[in-house]
Amino acid sequence: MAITSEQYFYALNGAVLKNKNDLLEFLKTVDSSTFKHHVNLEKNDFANWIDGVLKEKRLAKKISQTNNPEEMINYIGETIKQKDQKKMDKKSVITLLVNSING
Amino acid sequence: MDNPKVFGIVALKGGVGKTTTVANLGAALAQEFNKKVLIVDANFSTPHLGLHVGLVNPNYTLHQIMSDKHSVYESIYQHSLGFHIIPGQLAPVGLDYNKLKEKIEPLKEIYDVILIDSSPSLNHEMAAAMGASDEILVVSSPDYPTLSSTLHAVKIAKESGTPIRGIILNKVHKKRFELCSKDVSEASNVKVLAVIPDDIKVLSALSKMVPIVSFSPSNEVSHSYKKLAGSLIGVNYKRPIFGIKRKNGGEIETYD
Ligand SMILES: Nc1ncnc2c1ncn2[C@@H]1O[C@H](COP(=O)(O)OP(=O)(O)OP(=O)(O)O)[C@@H](O)[C@H]1O
Ligand SMILES: [Mg+2]
Repeated sequence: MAITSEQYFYALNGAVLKNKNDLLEFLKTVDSSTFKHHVNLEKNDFANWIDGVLKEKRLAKKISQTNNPEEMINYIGETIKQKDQKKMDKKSVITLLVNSING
Repeated sequence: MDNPKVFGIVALKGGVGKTTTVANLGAALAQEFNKKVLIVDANFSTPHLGLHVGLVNPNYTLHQIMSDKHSVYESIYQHSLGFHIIPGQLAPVGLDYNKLKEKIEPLKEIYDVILIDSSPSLNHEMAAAMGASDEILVVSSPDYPTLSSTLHAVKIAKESGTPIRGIILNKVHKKRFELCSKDVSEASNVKVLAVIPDDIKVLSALSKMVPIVSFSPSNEVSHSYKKLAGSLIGVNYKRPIFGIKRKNGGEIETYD
C-alpha cells in the first residue's frame, strides 16, 4: 500500500519514515531525546502512525503498550518475519525443491 | 515390449508405504482380479514384507536365492490370500544385488504380475530393484520432505532407464495444508496414479499382519488400492455398492 508524503512520519531529528522498515532502522539508532519527544506519558506517535497510516492495528496496540525502543524493534521485526515466511508460498517452495534436485 | 509385468515399488524415504502398497496390490490383484501375482521383498537390509502378510520367520528367503543356496522356486511361498511371496531374511547378510534381475526374469513366464518391494536408501539395493523392474511406481506422501525425496527418486529412476509408471500418493489426510496430487505431478512431471487416504485401519490391519484390502475390504484405502491394482493391468475396478467383509485373515502355506 503506497502512502503519500503527507502521511510520512517526520521525526524530530529530521528523519523521514515511509514504512515499517524505515521505522525499524530509525529505532535502532534514535537518540533518546528524539525518542522521548515521540513517546511519552501523553502520546505514542509511533503507535498512532502505525495505526492511522500503516493500518496495522495489532502491531499498533503492541507498540502503544511500551516505551522501550528495543521492544518496539522486536515487535516490528516479528511482523516483518511473519510476512517473509508467508511470502514463501507453496509454489515457491516447490520450485525451490525442483531446482535443487534437478539443478 | 509386452505388457509390463514387473513393477518396482520405490521411494527414497522410509515409512511412506512401499511395503503396505506391495502387500495390498498383491492381495488385490489375486483376490479381486484373479491374477497370478508374486510379491518379492527386495528391501534386503530391512525386509519386512513378510510381517505385513503373516510370514514371520521364513526358512527360505530371497537372500538364499541371491547367494545361490536355493533355486528361486524353492523360496516361493503361497499365501492363502491367493498371492505368492518371496520373503527376505530378517537378519540379512551382504549380497550381490545385481543378480536380482536374472533371478526374477524366469518367473515372468509364470506370473501375470510381479511386485518388488525395495529399500528406502539410495544404494545398490534400490538400484537392483529398479533394474529388475519393467516399470517403477514411486510412493510418496503430500508433504515437502517427501516431495523432495520423490523428486530425487524420480530422477534416479529416470537415470536407471526403467520407465516410471507413476506416483502413488499415500497417507493423504485431505487437508488444505497438504500438497495435492496436482502439485506433486507438476513438480515431478510424473502422473499421480492413485491417492490413498491415511487411515488408522491400515495400522490395525498391520497388527494382524493382513493387508487392509482383505482385513477391511470396504475401507476407502482398500478401494483405492483395488482401483490402482486394476489400472496396472488395464482393468477397470468397479467399486461394489455394499462392501462384503471377508473374515479370512489368511494363513501361510509353503508352496512345495
Ligand atoms: N495409508 C496409510 N494410512 C495409515 N498408515 C499407513 C498408510 N500406509 C502405510 N501406513 C503405515 O505407515 C507405516 C510405514 O509403512 P510401510 O512399512 O509400508 O512403509 P515403507 O515405505 O515400506 O517403509 P520402509 O522404507 O521402512 O520399508 C506402517 O506402520 C504402515 O502401516
Ligand atoms: Mg518397507
